[in-house]
Amino acid sequence: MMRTFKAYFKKEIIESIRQYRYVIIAIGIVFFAVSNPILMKMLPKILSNQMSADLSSLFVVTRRAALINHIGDLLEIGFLVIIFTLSSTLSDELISKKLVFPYSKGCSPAQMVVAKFIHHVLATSLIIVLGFIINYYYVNILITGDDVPFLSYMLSAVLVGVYFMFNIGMCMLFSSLFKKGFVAGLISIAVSYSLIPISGINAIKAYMPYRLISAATAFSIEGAVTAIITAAAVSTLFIALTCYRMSKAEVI
Amino acid sequence: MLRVEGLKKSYKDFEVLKGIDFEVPKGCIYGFLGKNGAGKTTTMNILTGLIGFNGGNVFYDGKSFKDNKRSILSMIGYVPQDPVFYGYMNAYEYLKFIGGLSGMVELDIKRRSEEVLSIVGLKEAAKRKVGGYSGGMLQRFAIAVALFNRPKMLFLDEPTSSLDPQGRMEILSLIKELKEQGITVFFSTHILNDIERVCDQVTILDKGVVLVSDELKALKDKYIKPIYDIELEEPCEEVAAKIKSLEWVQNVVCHNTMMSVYVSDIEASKTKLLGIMADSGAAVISYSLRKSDLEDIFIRLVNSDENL
Ligand SMILES: Nc1ncnc2c1ncn2[C@@H]1O[C@H](COP(=O)(O)OP(=O)(O)OP(=O)(O)O)[C@@H](O)[C@H]1O
Ligand SMILES: [Mg+2]
Repeated sequence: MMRTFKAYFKKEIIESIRQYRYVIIAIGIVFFAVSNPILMKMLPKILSNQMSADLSSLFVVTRRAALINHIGDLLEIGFLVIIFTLSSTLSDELISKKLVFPYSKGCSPAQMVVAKFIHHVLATSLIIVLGFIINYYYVNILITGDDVPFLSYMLSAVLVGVYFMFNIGMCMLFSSLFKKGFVAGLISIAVSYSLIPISGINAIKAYMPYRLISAATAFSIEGAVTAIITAAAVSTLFIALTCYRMSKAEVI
Repeated sequence: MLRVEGLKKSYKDFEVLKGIDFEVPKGCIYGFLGKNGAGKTTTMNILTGLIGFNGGNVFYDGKSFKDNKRSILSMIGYVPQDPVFYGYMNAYEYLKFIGGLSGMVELDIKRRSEEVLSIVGLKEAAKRKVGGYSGGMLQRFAIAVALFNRPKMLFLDEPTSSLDPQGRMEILSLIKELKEQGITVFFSTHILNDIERVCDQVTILDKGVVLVSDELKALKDKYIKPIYDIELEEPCEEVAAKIKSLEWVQNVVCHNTMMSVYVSDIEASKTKLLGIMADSGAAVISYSLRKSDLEDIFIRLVNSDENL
């Protein structure tokens, strides 16, 4: 029953290792997990060289501020890295006709799409959690004051993971629709970023994926449950549409 | 094994297949012949379920393709014109992936991998990345992949066109071996020689229409008519008229001292023509039998010359 799912899940693992996808994503995420606290540590010193002493004392960096800053970095650079690494996941298979053999062997398009989605979400989530742990460690040894409990920070990691799940789902849909992975990536990013200002509107605020980030930076799940459910539902919709598209696509 | 009825396929307003019919008997090697753009690949993509069609019907063992697609797909194998694999895998890994998709168990996958790789002669290269294979190796690996889940029928789209003469011979003898194992082989080509070497049946496709579909032998008997080219020292009108009146001579074309004799009965011509020439007293400089081959048939057919 699940044979396409299993075959493709394994294939994605082999592919991600051989094409250094894990390494690229890990570098994109772990680099900032380490560099961010170092920069935050040095920031007051850099500023104090340029400002009067009493002004620079306003820029006291606490642990909480450093962790929040890291989440911000992750959403900029880490996000781009992840989206562009994954945006060719279906377009490349289609355009280079790699699906001819699998489809002629009775591959189930839906199982393939779901296998890819679950693989990508799991892989990025694990790397994100790893990044958060590393970041927490460095923040704790470099910076003092305004502590955030470890578990609260892990909760933030999960919320960020859900936010990425939403974006990966969207990215896969675009990847199945556009010939170039690069285009699929650009559009995903454009849509995702344009949702951020809209997320301020009170009437829809609670449903928007960006609510997850607000909750992550507040280190609290409060008010984010609706957003989690919405993100899960919309991701499912994206994936269902992707499955439909892949079952209709001419692979040759 | 396979019956195609009134199959139609269009891309927008362009009708690629204009209602084609043919039937492939079980256990034969079936040649599918046509010029570039005739619609060979399109037909094979339809028959292997990769693209849809706009009209007509396809039956495998009497079962409609539309209603039994999955079960039918599991008994056919396809070697596309330009096979593409996941180049970062080696041959074993790719076969394992394909075996997994086909629902085979681990042990069977291992055994079958060894089998198909030795059938196509790729055992030594099996641990190398498929991305580094040469054109001929890719073609052979594609056959291994197509054969992997023991299909009853194998489709090959121009399997020999990108190969050197030796590679072509290897593929052709492989095709013959497959037939001996009871696999029905359907292959497209524009190399007539390949068809003459191995095929039992042929369909000639041109501009989306089937021109002929018959057994190779019947096709030859029907269309191949021996022609004698005879050169005389003198102009040949007189002799030509005499020969033309013979019962087993269909036509004589005369051009100066050259004469072409179209005979309808090869056996009679072999035993009698030379004697008649000698009796006529004409001075013969050369005398030769031109055997028209599949190539002639093909060219004459696709040029829609009714006067074969
Ligand atoms: N996806 C497509 N969209 C539009 N036209 C197509 C498409 N695929 C094939 N065609 C057209 O259909 C016709 C038949 O193509 P097909 O590939 O079946 O020919 P072929 O007989 O396999 O030729 P070749 O010997 O070159 O491989 C061609 O004119 C081609 O341009
Ligand atoms: Mg072709």
